[in-house]
Amino acid sequence: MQDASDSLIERIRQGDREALGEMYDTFAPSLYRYISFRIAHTQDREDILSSVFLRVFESIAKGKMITNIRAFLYQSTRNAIIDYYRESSRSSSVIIEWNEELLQDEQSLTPLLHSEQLIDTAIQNRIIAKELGNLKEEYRELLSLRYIEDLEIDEIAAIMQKSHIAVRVTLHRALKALKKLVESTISANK
Amino acid sequence: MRDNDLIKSLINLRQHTSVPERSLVSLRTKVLNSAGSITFTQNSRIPPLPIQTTSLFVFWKSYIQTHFSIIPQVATAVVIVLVIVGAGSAYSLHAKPGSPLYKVRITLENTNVALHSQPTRRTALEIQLFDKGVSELKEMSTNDASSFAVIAVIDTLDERLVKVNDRIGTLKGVQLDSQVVPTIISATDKAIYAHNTLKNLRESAPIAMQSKYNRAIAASSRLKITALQALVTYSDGTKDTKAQEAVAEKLQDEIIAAKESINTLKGAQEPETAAKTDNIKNLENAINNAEIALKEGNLSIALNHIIESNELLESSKGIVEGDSIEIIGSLQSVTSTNESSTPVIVDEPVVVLEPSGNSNRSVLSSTTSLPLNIEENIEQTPKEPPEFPLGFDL
Repeated sequence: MQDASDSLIERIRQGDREALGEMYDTFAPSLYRYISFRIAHTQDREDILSSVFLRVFESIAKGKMITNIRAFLYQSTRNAIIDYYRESSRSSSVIIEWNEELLQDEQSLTPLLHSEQLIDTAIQNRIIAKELGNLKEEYRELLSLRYIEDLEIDEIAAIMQKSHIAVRVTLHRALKALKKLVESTISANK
Repeated sequence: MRDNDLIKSLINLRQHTSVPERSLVSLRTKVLNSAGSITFTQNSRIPPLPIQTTSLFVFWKSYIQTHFSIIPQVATAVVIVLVIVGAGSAYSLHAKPGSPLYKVRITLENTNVALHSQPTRRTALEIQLFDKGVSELKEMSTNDASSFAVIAVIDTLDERLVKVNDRIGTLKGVQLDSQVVPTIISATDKAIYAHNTLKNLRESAPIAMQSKYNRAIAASSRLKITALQALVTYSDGTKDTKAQEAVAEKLQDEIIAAKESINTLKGAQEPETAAKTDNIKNLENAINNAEIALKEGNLSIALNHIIESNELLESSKGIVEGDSIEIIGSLQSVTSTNESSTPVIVDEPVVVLEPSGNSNRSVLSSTTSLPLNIEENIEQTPKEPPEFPLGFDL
């Protein structure tokens, strides 16, 4: 992965325009998802995503040394989000969208699973998604980076400019806080 | 809900959160069009170093350049020397008695103790060290260690017992420290263990080493009494029931040991003399008084009778072994006023030390529950003292 990223950067530096498209195709979906966990408005998300890519391309063009392109992209996105909130006084809570079609696909792929069980899981997942949107921003960011974007702790530490231990501790707290929110919603719905 | 289920759901969210593919495609075109205006240069072709190496290297290089203008060779030499000294110290700390590095180890251990600012912590470390010495001595007795090595350990042990004895005396200035009582309890336990172990080891030791053993035994005995006195003073002053119970237990052990000694003395095949009979009678009286005082909860009085019985015991035995006797020094009384100081048995014969400012002996509350089954289990072999309660590590 690292070697592939290095060669991609090198190709971009050499002026290979196709490499720009490859980089976009590789990272845009996950970056968009990361942004969607932090910004509610669709248009703002797209603006941020495009500005991030352009900024990263410029950095590569200027010969900036990039050791981990994935972490660099997330860090740039994070900074763009911070600037976005700094410039506008918007609320940081978001509604996390849930793709029902994918759930139906899953149901058809796993016919042996009891349908009631699937419904319970679906309800629980929807609650988790909803409460994730209500979580403290730092916690939401950390959980999305770790479990949804599947980043390593060290990568997250580099992106958030925190120590490895601090990330682990905050991650543990974030899980605890989300669990509390989910459990209270589940018990209120019963 | 289990954490694992929550994490699983979060991972599932990756698939179920919708990413608008159409928007991304249109955005792609927009981004690539805008990137068309960027001029890509080819001036930076240095292959990137792995992330950790790079960041470490860059950090140290810039740090040294900005903060120190040391010639790299000198810096390397300093680092090498530090590594050698560090490794040497670490190796010395594990040097066994008899090894040429044993003295270095003792010096390092003493330095370690001296580096601590808190008196209780220093004392605690010193206690750990003398206890380690006792264990080493015990181990050496089964390993046919050289007499040179054994003497070195006994000498160090003796010095440390004396130091702890002095330190227990200085703890009076830190009465508010919650660790004082556990430290003194530990000192008492370990001094008793040291005393009994040394006595056992002395029996099989060559004659040349007897005087060394006697000195260490005397030191452990002094420490035992000093620690007991300090405990009585503190438990009286603080009215701490737990401390009082711990003291009562220790005094009870002392009474049991004294009774055992009286029985041995009675059973000795030496000719009966009037002086010896009188002494035994006085001894029995002292022990009985100690027992009564303990039952009534008068710890300080019980301790005074125990000290008296110890002195009588020594004179009964006529114990003059080598050039020292087992209990050197004496203490007139243990007082327990609020301004009381911790009495210390010093390394001189019959010295009466403070305290005596107030002669009112305090009587502990009679409601204090004290262990009374004194006759139980007289142990012949030294019992391992409990682990040090403070969890200090060297």
